[in-house]
Amino acid sequence: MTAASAPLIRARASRDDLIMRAGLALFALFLLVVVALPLWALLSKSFQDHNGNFVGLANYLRYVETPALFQSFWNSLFVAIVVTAIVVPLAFIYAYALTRSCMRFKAVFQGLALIPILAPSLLPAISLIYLFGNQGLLKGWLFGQPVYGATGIITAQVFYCFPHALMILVTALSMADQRLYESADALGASRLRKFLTVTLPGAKYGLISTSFVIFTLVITDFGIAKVVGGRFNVLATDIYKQVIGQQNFEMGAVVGVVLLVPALLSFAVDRIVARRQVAQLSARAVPFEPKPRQSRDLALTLFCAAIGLAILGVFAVSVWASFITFWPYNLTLTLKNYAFGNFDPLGWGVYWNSLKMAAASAILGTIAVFLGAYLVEKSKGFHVGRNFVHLLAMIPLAVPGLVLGLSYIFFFNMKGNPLGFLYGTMAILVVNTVAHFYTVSHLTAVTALKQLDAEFEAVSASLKVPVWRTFFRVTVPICLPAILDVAIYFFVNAMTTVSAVIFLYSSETKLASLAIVNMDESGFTAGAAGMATVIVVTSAAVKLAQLGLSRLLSRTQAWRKR
Amino acid sequence: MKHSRLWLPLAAAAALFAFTADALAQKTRITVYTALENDQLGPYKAAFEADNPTIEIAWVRDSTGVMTARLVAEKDNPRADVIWGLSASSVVLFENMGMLTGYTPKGADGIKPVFKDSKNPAMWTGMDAYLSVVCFNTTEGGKAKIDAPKSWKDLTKPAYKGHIVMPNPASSGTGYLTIAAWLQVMGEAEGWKYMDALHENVAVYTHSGSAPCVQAARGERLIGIGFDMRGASEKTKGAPIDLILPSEGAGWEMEASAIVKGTKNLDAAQKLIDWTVSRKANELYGKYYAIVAMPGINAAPPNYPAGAEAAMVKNDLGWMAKERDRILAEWTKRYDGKSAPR
Amino acid sequence: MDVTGASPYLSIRRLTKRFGSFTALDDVSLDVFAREFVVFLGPSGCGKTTLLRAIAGLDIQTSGTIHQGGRDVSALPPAERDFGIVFQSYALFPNLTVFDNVGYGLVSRGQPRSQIQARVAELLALVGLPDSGAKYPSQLSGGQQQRVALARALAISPGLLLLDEPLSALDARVRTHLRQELKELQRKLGITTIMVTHDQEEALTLADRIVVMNHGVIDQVGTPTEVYRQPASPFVADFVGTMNFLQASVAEHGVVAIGGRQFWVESLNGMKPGTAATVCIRPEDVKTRNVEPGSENALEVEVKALEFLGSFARARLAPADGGDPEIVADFSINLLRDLKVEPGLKLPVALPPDRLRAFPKA
Repeated sequence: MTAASAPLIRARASRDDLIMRAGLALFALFLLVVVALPLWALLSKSFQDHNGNFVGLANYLRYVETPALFQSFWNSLFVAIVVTAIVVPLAFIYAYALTRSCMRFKAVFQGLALIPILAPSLLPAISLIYLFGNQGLLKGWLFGQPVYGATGIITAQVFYCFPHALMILVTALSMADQRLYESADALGASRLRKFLTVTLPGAKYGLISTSFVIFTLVITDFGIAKVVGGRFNVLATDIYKQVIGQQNFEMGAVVGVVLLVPALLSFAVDRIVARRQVAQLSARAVPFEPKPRQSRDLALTLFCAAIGLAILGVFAVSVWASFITFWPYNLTLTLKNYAFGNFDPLGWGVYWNSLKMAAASAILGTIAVFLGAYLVEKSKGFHVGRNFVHLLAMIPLAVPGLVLGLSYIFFFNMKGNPLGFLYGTMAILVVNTVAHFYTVSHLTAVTALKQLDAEFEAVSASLKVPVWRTFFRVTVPICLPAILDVAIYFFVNAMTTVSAVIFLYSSETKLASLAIVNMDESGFTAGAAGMATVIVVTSAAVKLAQLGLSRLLSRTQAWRKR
Repeated sequence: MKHSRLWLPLAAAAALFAFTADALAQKTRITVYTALENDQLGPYKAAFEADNPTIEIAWVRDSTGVMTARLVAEKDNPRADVIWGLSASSVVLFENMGMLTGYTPKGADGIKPVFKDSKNPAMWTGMDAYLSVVCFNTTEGGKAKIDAPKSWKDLTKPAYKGHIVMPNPASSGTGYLTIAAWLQVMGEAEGWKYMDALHENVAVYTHSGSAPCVQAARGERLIGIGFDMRGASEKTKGAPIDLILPSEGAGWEMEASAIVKGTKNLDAAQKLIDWTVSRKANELYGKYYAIVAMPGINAAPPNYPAGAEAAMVKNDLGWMAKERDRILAEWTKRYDGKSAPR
Repeated sequence: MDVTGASPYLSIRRLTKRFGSFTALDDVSLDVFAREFVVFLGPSGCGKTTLLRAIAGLDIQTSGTIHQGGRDVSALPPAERDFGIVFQSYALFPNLTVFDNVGYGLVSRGQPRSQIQARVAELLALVGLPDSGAKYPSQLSGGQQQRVALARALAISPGLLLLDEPLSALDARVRTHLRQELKELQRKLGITTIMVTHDQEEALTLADRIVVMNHGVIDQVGTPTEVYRQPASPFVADFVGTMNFLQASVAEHGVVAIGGRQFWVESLNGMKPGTAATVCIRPEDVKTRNVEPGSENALEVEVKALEFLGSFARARLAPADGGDPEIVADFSINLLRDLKVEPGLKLPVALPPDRLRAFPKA
């Protein structure tokens, strides 16, 4: 019964297969160039001396032996842990209110909570200085503690991280099975018991995942520590100080590698958790419908109102500050802080740069991400290539922006790199931004593609229709909402990002978010607040346009109705 | 038609690069590296381009330390054509590294001797001088009942603990000239001892030289040691600060211009250097600086303290350039833990 | 196995498909003839879908060959083969109208618009949806969507129609109805058709020939009657219809012993005396009417339990004097009334030798 004599068959690839494999190979190359090779350049730089000789661990030894630098490591860890411990419970209650109560104005509260995402992280930090600085409005609230340092960093990070935590937890909490609660009711479980035995376990993975995401966000963000850090140094500001302040690239590379470690760890844990989560909810689950309960709903409304107002307040302070003539001695309102030409050689040019960069990132990034995800999901065979591209696409999530930006300096300035001409151009900012925010977009696209019938391509092949035709005629139209999501994600992040591009801009390609850093540094805080306001307004407008467009899509495209 | 799909990625690539080269220059575009304050860049550029309509200036600006490091880093592959408005000690450093092309501008005779290189052709020419002063917030001082300091020595008094902010010399030119003056006036040993004591009172070392007087102006800190002109402009805007010239004398630096060796626009670069020593240019400098290269210019920016020229310490720019690395390494070792992030 | 004497349209030789260390198809060979309706039947994981996808070129086999219409298609990608396919999920394009779905394969062949229009209208009429062209799939019922999927597959006039569990997502009534239509359509068009299903009733009603598969091998190929009447293995016997399995041993030539009783069996498949065997008989083959006690293979039994199943009743019977074998037998409603069958009733039944099938014990 052996098949020894039956001929082995090597499947002949169709033209479509060949096109898609070539596409995958091209994509692997693209991701190698924009992600993997730069990181490799960073890593090797950390083992070199100033003249490029290999010096083994010498730089690392110097790092550990420099107390000021090593202290930052512990500072970063401390801040990240405290912020995580504060944000996760707050966001959990807020998410609980949004998903599990009959609180009114849920849409308003949800919208309020998302404001910080539309702003660069520097905005809450700037607001904090106006609120709690040495001349702050509410200085007394800190009982004489200076806001500069850990206090300020933690407070601003809580504001900045809140919506990120909220989004994950809302998703986690909305996946609840009504039947579990009904069973618990039938068994006479108390509310507390239901919460402890049904609600919390159900959200367990969401909570773990949130904790790691927040931890990474805090440890890798640099805008906040830069503005309110004072003498409290953290890893992110160390890289910056080493590289930009002192042009000590080797030490910058070392700090970059050190910064990569906690980020990679939390990424790994998050992936493991995500894998476990898959089979959480059975297809037969009945969606949870909250029942009104006055005392709970009122309490949660008050809680959300408090948080929502705090967020609005922090945002409003920056807006207000941007109209102040001379803080704190002359509080008359003025528009002159919006004459950015007084604070930056490019003036409003930085804003147009940002718009250009964001639009280019959104368009090119979305095309790249969606094509890449399509190739990974839908090409046949060639498992090695598909897995490789998928793996590469996951890396950026674990790489802090500063580290990626620094890697780009090394990689694109390497002797003999044919891509060196990109250095200092707008193109490198676009490429870097696309790479920086690649993973989340990739996952969004993959999720959307997975929801398509797996046999569309098989049907097309049987009908002798080339794969690209089905791609444009069927796949793209169906995935349009997800494509829009990805584009807006790129756009908003490109508008607000600071960490990666701060190493890569030239005087002509300076972005609005970077101008905020510069203005704040040279003491033009009101101008910085003004620019932050302009960015928030722009992001918000784009976000609203997206909402409108999605609504239009579901209204005009009859087939989207179920 | 057959190849139409090939054009898709090409078009995307073209779109990517289109805006990097959107201005097809008919003019000669020269890249000028500078550490001048932002508000000066616009007027300087406009005035120069009005006189030289065929040349266009593209500024690249950052703080002195960063600009210096960047020029050194680009030594083998320079991207700048001209340096205009960078500390003279940095420019001398470049000269020593053979990075400059000598050129004695037309009209060089018209400026004070100290403002030009003695070699022929001159490797660099000066524009103006700036000082590091003490900015003291009188409102906050009154509230806290703390008197204004009169000398550098005063700043080490315990009353000022945590109230002083000064620039990090590793990244700020103002910071470096400040400590270089201390070391020259007090002598090395005394100078470091003084800084050890001062370190106890410093709240934070900022990245830029303008930030300290701004922070003092906003009342965020009581005392800022920093760039004189920024202090004066903050005062003009209404800040309740006094600019104090310490009794031991103030450190100073000169801002200078030079042509970068290897420029592809030598002609335009020389035209720019010619213009930087012109009367028109000096009158423009006079709006921002109390001390400019050309004698007889009315250089009196508002709210600038009197007696600045007299308060300037004896300063050896050559020494500053030569010792820069060593002094900064020592400083970093001793005090960097308190540096502001950046 | 050659039914028509003609050479086969589809010829599968020694097909093996491995996924890692798992063998999904193990050395499978099969011929399918033109205009035939062949059904692959088996439990999930038996390899029937793998075989279908290999024929389509969607998951190409590890080894072995496939010839279609005399052409070696073994290694060809799907687009270079000649088939239409309908999936369980239908895989209709939700953003295209029914018209565009059906015409999807026609448009890229560069046919003029009017010709496409006529062809689509013809197909929609064929599947009984002449007026649904402008609708979107989500506006149709499951059965209607299935017809659209069928029309789309037929649009390009393929030589082979592949149906992957096409009816299993539908509810029972629609399923029965569509079954009829599918069969008629296939007859009318004369298109060679292969369908995969795990539903034996579907297989029995639709197929010209059934291919029963288990664990990656073909257990039996035959007409529905052959498969039902003469199952080639206990697995086939069990999977298709209901079956009594009786533990037996071969006593002598043509006789088996079950629970100490001797029964005549027409064929022993060459088993020698002393061999442990499994003897099968279908419940409806147990003779319950006009059995003389003491006649061939007769047995006095007592009704232990009775299950009413509409047009008939299924009874559990045990020998009246105790011991083996326990047997399940069907009683028509008529007989039920005539004999007043109820639990506790004793009556003689017989196991006709030509209905008993003996297999070596697994």
